[in-house]
Amino acid sequence: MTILTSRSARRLLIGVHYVGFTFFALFVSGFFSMRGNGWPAFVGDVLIFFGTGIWLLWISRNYKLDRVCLPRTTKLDERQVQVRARTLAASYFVVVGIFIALLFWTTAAKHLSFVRRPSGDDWSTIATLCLLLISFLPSAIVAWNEPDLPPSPEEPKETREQASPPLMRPFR
Amino acid sequence: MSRQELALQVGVNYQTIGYLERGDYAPSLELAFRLSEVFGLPLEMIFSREPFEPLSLAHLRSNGATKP
Repeated sequence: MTILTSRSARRLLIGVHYVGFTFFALFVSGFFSMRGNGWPAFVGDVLIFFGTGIWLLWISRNYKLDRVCLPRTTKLDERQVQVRARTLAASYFVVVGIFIALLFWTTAAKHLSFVRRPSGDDWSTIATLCLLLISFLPSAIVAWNEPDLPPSPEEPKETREQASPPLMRPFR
Repeated sequence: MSRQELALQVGVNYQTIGYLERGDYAPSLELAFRLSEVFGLPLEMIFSREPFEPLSLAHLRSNGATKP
């Protein structure tokens, strides 16, 4: 697994992921709006949701965004525990924010004529998008926030010394 | 001593040692004491709330020089 030490590279990767998720959700939305009713539509819906579920499962087992900045360790040290706690708290706030926004939209649509009421297809799109975004949220937050990493001890010595000065120096 | 060796001795990830060096992370008292034991130095010689004076200046001063 490649560890991306540069924060800008990690942020670019996260941006690409999330833009991709949004396009995928829009594609699903288009699929729902074009399909008809009856058994073919039902089978199509089931395939879309099962396909998304299997895809997410595969990605979560093989490709974790948090590994681009935190090495796979069996035991987290004190800094990593702090990072995890902050990340989970931030994820919680984002999820609550999404739910409040949806609640606001449905309430506004109920009472205000110029606000469009969400249809069943809208909810399907929102559910797909939320599923994709929220699944990767903690990993994405860690990868987004972690500063540029110190070089790995497995890297060649010359690369390490170029990237970072030696630990102990007699004079500066 | 490499980061990896120091990290193993104090029981943290090597990246945490890197963040400590760069001042991106403030250690717990427990970790600070462990580092102090490894280096055999008092805490105030390893950590400070103010930036440390370069060793070259301290060396010159100890030799009686008034200016670096």
